[in-house]
Amino acid sequence: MNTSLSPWTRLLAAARRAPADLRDESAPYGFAARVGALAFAGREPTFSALFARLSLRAVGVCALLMVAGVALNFSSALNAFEPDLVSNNDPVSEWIDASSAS
Amino acid sequence: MPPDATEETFDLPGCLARVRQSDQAAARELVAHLYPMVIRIVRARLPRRAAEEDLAQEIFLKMFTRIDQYQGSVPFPHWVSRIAVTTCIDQLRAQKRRPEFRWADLSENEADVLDAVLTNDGDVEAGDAMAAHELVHKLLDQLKPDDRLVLQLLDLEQKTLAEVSELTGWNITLIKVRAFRARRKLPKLFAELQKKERV
Repeated sequence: MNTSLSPWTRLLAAARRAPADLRDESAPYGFAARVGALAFAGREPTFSALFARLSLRAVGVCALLMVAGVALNFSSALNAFEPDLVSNNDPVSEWIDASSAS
Repeated sequence: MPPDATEETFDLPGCLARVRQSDQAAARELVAHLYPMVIRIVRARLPRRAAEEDLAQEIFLKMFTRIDQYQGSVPFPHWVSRIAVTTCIDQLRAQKRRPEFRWADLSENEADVLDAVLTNDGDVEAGDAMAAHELVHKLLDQLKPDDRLVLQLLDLEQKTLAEVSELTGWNITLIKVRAFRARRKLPKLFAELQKKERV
Protein backbone atom coordinates (compact mmCIF):
# COMPACT_ATOMS: atom_id res chain seq x y z
CA MET A 1 0.00 0.00 0.00
CA ASN A 2 1.03 3.55 -0.68
CA THR A 3 2.87 4.72 2.42
CA SER A 4 1.97 8.36 1.79
CA LEU A 5 -1.69 7.67 2.61
CA SER A 6 -3.00 8.98 5.92
CA PRO A 7 -4.07 6.57 8.67
CA TRP A 8 -7.67 7.60 8.04
CA THR A 9 -7.46 6.73 4.34
CA ARG A 10 -5.80 3.40 5.10
CA LEU A 11 -8.43 2.62 7.73
CA LEU A 12 -11.26 3.50 5.34
CA ALA A 13 -9.82 1.29 2.62
CA ALA A 14 -9.76 -1.63 5.06
CA ALA A 15 -13.26 -0.85 6.38
CA ARG A 16 -14.74 -0.86 2.87
CA ARG A 17 -13.69 -4.50 2.49
CA ALA A 18 -16.10 -5.45 5.29
CA PRO A 19 -18.94 -7.70 4.14
CA ALA A 20 -22.30 -6.09 3.51
CA ASP A 21 -24.88 -6.06 6.27
CA LEU A 22 -27.00 -9.16 5.66
CA ARG A 23 -29.55 -8.62 8.41
CA ASP A 24 -33.22 -8.99 7.50
CA GLU A 25 -34.63 -5.72 6.19
CA SER A 26 -38.33 -6.55 6.24
CA ALA A 27 -40.56 -4.91 8.82
CA PRO A 28 -40.99 -6.91 12.06
CA TYR A 29 -44.37 -8.57 12.58
CA GLY A 30 -46.96 -6.01 13.66
CA PHE A 31 -44.69 -3.00 13.10
CA ALA A 32 -46.61 -1.62 10.09
CA ALA A 33 -49.99 -2.11 11.81
CA ARG A 34 -48.77 -0.39 14.99
CA VAL A 35 -47.25 2.56 13.15
CA GLY A 36 -50.29 2.86 10.85
CA ALA A 37 -52.61 3.01 13.87
CA LEU A 38 -50.38 5.48 15.75
CA ALA A 39 -50.17 7.71 12.69
CA PHE A 40 -53.89 8.36 12.67
CA ALA A 41 -54.44 8.27 16.42
CA GLY A 42 -52.98 11.72 16.93
CA ARG A 43 -54.43 13.34 13.83
CA GLU A 44 -56.79 16.32 14.15
CA PRO A 45 -60.28 15.38 12.96
CA THR A 46 -61.58 17.03 9.80
CA PHE A 47 -64.64 19.30 9.98
CA SER A 48 -66.94 16.71 8.37
CA ALA A 49 -65.70 13.96 10.71
CA LEU A 50 -66.16 16.24 13.71
CA PHE A 51 -69.67 17.21 12.53
CA ALA A 52 -70.63 13.57 12.02
CA ARG A 53 -69.35 12.64 15.48
CA LEU A 54 -71.16 15.53 17.19
CA SER A 55 -74.35 14.82 15.22
CA LEU A 56 -74.35 11.22 16.38
CA ARG A 57 -73.97 12.38 19.97
CA ALA A 58 -76.82 14.86 19.50
CA VAL A 59 -79.07 12.11 18.11
CA GLY A 60 -78.24 9.94 21.13
CA VAL A 61 -79.05 12.72 23.62
CA CYS A 62 -82.31 13.53 21.81
CA ALA A 63 -83.38 9.88 21.89
CA LEU A 64 -82.69 9.72 25.64
CA LEU A 65 -84.67 12.90 26.29
CA MET A 66 -87.55 11.56 24.24
CA VAL A 67 -87.69 8.29 26.16
CA ALA A 68 -87.43 10.14 29.47
CA GLY A 69 -90.20 12.55 28.42
CA VAL A 70 -92.54 9.73 27.46
CA ALA A 71 -91.81 7.81 30.67
CA LEU A 72 -92.41 10.82 32.92
CA ASN A 73 -95.62 11.90 31.20
CA PHE A 74 -97.02 8.44 30.58
CA SER A 75 -99.85 8.79 33.11
CA SER A 76 -100.88 12.21 31.73
CA ALA A 77 -100.89 10.83 28.24
CA LEU A 78 -103.12 7.96 29.35
CA ASN A 79 -105.53 10.40 31.06
CA ALA A 80 -105.91 12.27 27.82
CA PHE A 81 -107.74 9.30 26.34
CA GLU A 82 -110.10 8.78 29.33
CA PRO A 83 -113.72 10.29 29.21
CA ASP A 84 -113.78 13.93 30.21
CA LEU A 85 -115.33 13.87 33.65
CA VAL A 86 -114.76 17.56 34.13
CA SER A 87 -117.17 18.47 31.36
CA ASN A 88 -119.95 16.78 33.35
CA ASN A 89 -119.61 19.40 36.05
CA ASP A 90 -119.24 22.23 33.65
CA PRO A 91 -121.40 25.15 35.00
CA VAL A 92 -122.08 26.46 31.50
CA SER A 93 -123.41 23.15 30.23
CA GLU A 94 -125.42 22.75 33.44
CA TRP A 95 -126.93 26.21 32.91
CA ILE A 96 -127.81 25.38 29.32
CA ASP A 97 -129.36 22.10 30.45
CA ALA A 98 -131.33 23.93 33.16
CA SER A 99 -132.57 26.67 30.82
CA SER A 100 -133.61 24.14 28.17
CA ALA A 101 -135.54 22.11 30.79
CA SER A 102 -137.47 25.15 31.96
CA MET B 1 -31.89 5.24 -1.87
CA PRO B 2 -35.20 4.10 -3.27
CA PRO B 3 -36.44 0.60 -2.50
CA ASP B 4 -36.10 -1.03 -5.93
CA ALA B 5 -37.33 -4.61 -5.38
CA THR B 6 -41.03 -3.84 -5.33
CA GLU B 7 -40.82 -0.35 -6.85
CA GLU B 8 -42.44 -1.32 -10.13
CA THR B 9 -45.37 -3.25 -8.69
CA PHE B 10 -46.19 -0.90 -5.80
CA ASP B 11 -48.67 1.87 -6.64
CA LEU B 12 -47.05 4.64 -4.60
CA PRO B 13 -49.17 7.60 -5.84
CA GLY B 14 -52.38 5.63 -5.25
CA CYS B 15 -51.20 4.56 -1.81
CA LEU B 16 -50.29 8.15 -0.88
CA ALA B 17 -53.71 9.39 -1.98
CA ARG B 18 -55.38 6.80 0.24
CA VAL B 19 -53.11 7.66 3.18
CA ARG B 20 -54.12 11.31 2.82
CA GLN B 21 -57.73 10.16 3.22
CA SER B 22 -56.73 8.51 6.54
CA ASP B 23 -56.84 4.96 5.16
CA GLN B 24 -55.04 2.82 7.76
CA ALA B 25 -54.59 -0.14 5.42
CA ALA B 26 -52.76 2.13 2.96
CA ALA B 27 -50.60 3.45 5.81
CA ARG B 28 -49.63 -0.12 6.69
CA GLU B 29 -48.75 -0.87 3.06
CA LEU B 30 -46.65 2.30 2.83
CA VAL B 31 -44.72 1.45 6.01
CA ALA B 32 -44.06 -2.11 4.85
CA HIS B 33 -42.90 -0.80 1.45
CA LEU B 34 -40.50 1.83 2.81
CA TYR B 35 -39.23 -0.10 5.85
CA PRO B 36 -36.19 -1.71 4.11
CA MET B 37 -34.92 1.69 2.93
CA VAL B 38 -35.51 3.35 6.30
CA ILE B 39 -33.90 0.54 8.30
CA ARG B 40 -30.80 0.65 6.06
CA ILE B 41 -30.40 4.37 6.83
CA VAL B 42 -31.03 3.81 10.54
CA ARG B 43 -28.54 0.95 10.78
CA ALA B 44 -25.85 2.94 8.97
CA ARG B 45 -26.28 6.06 11.09
CA LEU B 46 -27.74 4.73 14.30
CA PRO B 47 -26.25 6.18 17.44
CA ARG B 48 -24.81 3.47 19.61
CA ARG B 49 -27.11 2.26 22.39
CA ALA B 50 -30.21 3.39 20.48
CA ALA B 51 -32.92 0.93 19.47
CA GLU B 52 -33.28 0.77 15.69
CA GLU B 53 -36.99 -0.14 15.75
CA ASP B 54 -37.84 2.86 17.97
CA LEU B 55 -35.97 5.19 15.65
CA ALA B 56 -37.65 3.69 12.57
CA GLN B 57 -41.04 4.21 14.23
CA GLU B 58 -40.18 7.84 14.98
CA ILE B 59 -39.21 8.37 11.33
CA PHE B 60 -42.47 6.90 10.02
CA LEU B 61 -44.57 8.94 12.45
CA LYS B 62 -42.78 12.11 11.29
CA MET B 63 -43.47 11.06 7.71
CA PHE B 64 -47.22 10.70 8.38
CA THR B 65 -47.36 14.00 10.28
CA ARG B 66 -45.73 15.88 7.41
CA ILE B 67 -47.27 13.95 4.51
CA ASP B 68 -49.52 16.87 3.55
CA GLN B 69 -46.39 19.00 3.05
CA TYR B 70 -45.04 16.63 0.38
CA GLN B 71 -45.35 18.47 -2.93
CA GLY B 72 -43.87 15.85 -5.24
CA SER B 73 -40.84 17.91 -6.29
CA VAL B 74 -38.56 14.97 -5.38
CA PRO B 75 -39.41 11.24 -5.45
CA PHE B 76 -41.26 10.24 -2.29
CA PRO B 77 -38.59 7.73 -1.09
CA HIS B 78 -35.97 10.52 -1.31
CA TRP B 79 -38.20 12.78 0.74
CA VAL B 80 -38.56 10.04 3.36
CA SER B 81 -34.83 9.28 3.36
CA ARG B 82 -34.13 12.92 4.19
CA ILE B 83 -36.52 12.69 7.15
CA ALA B 84 -34.68 9.52 8.22
CA VAL B 85 -31.25 11.14 8.00
CA THR B 86 -32.27 14.28 9.89
CA THR B 87 -33.99 12.20 12.57
CA CYS B 88 -30.78 10.21 13.05
CA ILE B 89 -28.77 13.45 13.34
CA ASP B 90 -31.26 14.79 15.91
CA GLN B 91 -30.89 11.56 17.87
CA LEU B 92 -27.10 11.90 17.80
CA ARG B 93 -27.34 15.53 18.95
CA ALA B 94 -29.62 14.47 21.79
CA GLN B 95 -26.96 12.00 22.88
CA LYS B 96 -24.82 14.78 24.27
CA ARG B 97 -22.11 12.67 25.84
CA ARG B 98 -20.00 10.85 23.31
CA PRO B 99 -18.33 7.68 24.54
CA GLU B 100 -14.65 8.13 25.35
CA PHE B 101 -12.38 6.45 22.84
CA ARG B 102 -9.64 4.54 24.65
CA TRP B 103 -7.11 2.07 23.36
CA ALA B 104 -7.89 -0.25 26.26
CA ASP B 105 -11.53 -0.55 25.13
CA LEU B 106 -10.61 -1.86 21.69
CA SER B 107 -10.83 -5.54 20.83
CA GLU B 108 -7.62 -7.37 19.93
CA ASN B 109 -8.43 -7.14 16.20
CA GLU B 110 -9.32 -3.46 16.41
CA ALA B 111 -6.07 -2.72 18.25
CA ASP B 112 -4.11 -4.60 15.57
CA VAL B 113 -5.83 -2.67 12.80
CA LEU B 114 -5.24 0.64 14.53
CA ASP B 115 -1.64 -0.25 15.11
CA ALA B 116 -1.22 -1.15 11.44
CA VAL B 117 -2.72 2.08 10.12
CA LEU B 118 -0.90 4.28 12.62
CA THR B 119 2.53 2.77 12.22
CA ASN B 120 2.15 2.35 8.48
CA ASP B 121 3.35 -1.15 9.14
CA GLY B 122 1.99 -3.16 6.20
CA ASP B 123 -1.56 -3.64 5.01
CA VAL B 124 -4.55 -4.37 7.16
CA GLU B 125 -5.43 -8.03 6.72
CA ALA B 126 -8.61 -8.84 4.83
CA GLY B 127 -9.88 -10.76 7.86
CA ASP B 128 -9.70 -7.59 9.90
CA ALA B 129 -12.09 -5.67 7.63
CA MET B 130 -14.95 -5.94 10.14
CA ALA B 131 -12.67 -4.68 12.90
CA ALA B 132 -11.61 -1.79 10.66
CA HIS B 133 -15.27 -1.01 9.95
CA GLU B 134 -16.07 -1.01 13.66
CA LEU B 135 -13.05 1.17 14.33
CA VAL B 136 -14.13 3.72 11.73
CA HIS B 137 -17.49 4.00 13.48
CA LYS B 138 -15.83 4.39 16.87
CA LEU B 139 -13.71 7.22 15.48
CA LEU B 140 -16.73 8.84 13.83
CA ASP B 141 -18.55 8.65 17.16
CA GLN B 142 -16.00 11.12 18.51
CA LEU B 143 -17.05 13.80 16.04
CA LYS B 144 -20.02 16.15 16.10
CA PRO B 145 -23.12 14.62 14.48
CA ASP B 146 -22.94 16.79 11.35
CA ASP B 147 -19.19 16.16 10.90
CA ARG B 148 -19.72 12.47 11.47
CA LEU B 149 -22.48 12.27 8.89
CA VAL B 150 -20.57 14.14 6.22
CA LEU B 151 -17.45 11.95 6.60
CA GLN B 152 -19.49 8.78 6.70
CA LEU B 153 -21.32 9.64 3.50
CA LEU B 154 -18.35 11.05 1.60
CA ASP B 155 -15.41 8.96 2.82
CA LEU B 156 -16.86 5.65 3.93
CA GLU B 157 -19.85 5.28 1.62
CA GLN B 158 -18.13 7.26 -1.17
CA LYS B 159 -21.22 9.23 -2.13
CA THR B 160 -20.91 12.25 -4.39
CA LEU B 161 -21.43 15.81 -3.12
CA ALA B 162 -24.72 15.97 -5.01
CA GLU B 163 -25.95 12.77 -3.36
CA VAL B 164 -24.99 14.04 0.09
CA SER B 165 -26.74 17.31 -0.65
CA GLU B 166 -29.89 15.48 -1.70
CA LEU B 167 -29.85 13.33 1.42
CA THR B 168 -29.13 16.05 3.95
CA GLY B 169 -30.57 19.17 2.32
CA TRP B 170 -27.22 20.99 2.85
CA ASN B 171 -25.68 22.94 0.00
CA ILE B 172 -22.46 21.76 -1.67
CA THR B 173 -20.26 24.52 -0.17
CA LEU B 174 -21.45 23.72 3.34
CA ILE B 175 -20.73 20.02 2.80
CA LYS B 176 -17.20 20.77 1.56
CA VAL B 177 -16.49 23.04 4.52
CA ARG B 178 -17.84 20.48 7.01
CA ALA B 179 -15.81 17.68 5.41
CA PHE B 180 -12.65 19.80 5.48
CA ARG B 181 -13.09 20.69 9.15
CA ALA B 182 -14.00 17.13 10.13
CA ARG B 183 -10.96 15.66 8.36
CA ARG B 184 -8.73 18.13 10.20
CA LYS B 185 -9.94 16.71 13.50
CA LEU B 186 -8.99 13.14 12.61
CA PRO B 187 -5.17 13.41 12.87
CA LYS B 188 -5.72 14.95 16.30
CA LEU B 189 -7.82 11.96 17.31
CA PHE B 190 -5.19 9.51 16.06
CA ALA B 191 -2.47 11.46 17.90
CA GLU B 192 -4.47 11.38 21.15
CA LEU B 193 -4.91 7.64 20.80
CA GLN B 194 -1.20 7.07 20.27
CA LYS B 195 -0.47 9.25 23.29
CA LYS B 196 -2.92 7.29 25.43
CA GLU B 197 -1.39 4.01 24.32
CA ARG B 198 2.04 5.08 25.51
CA VAL B 199 0.73 6.17 28.91
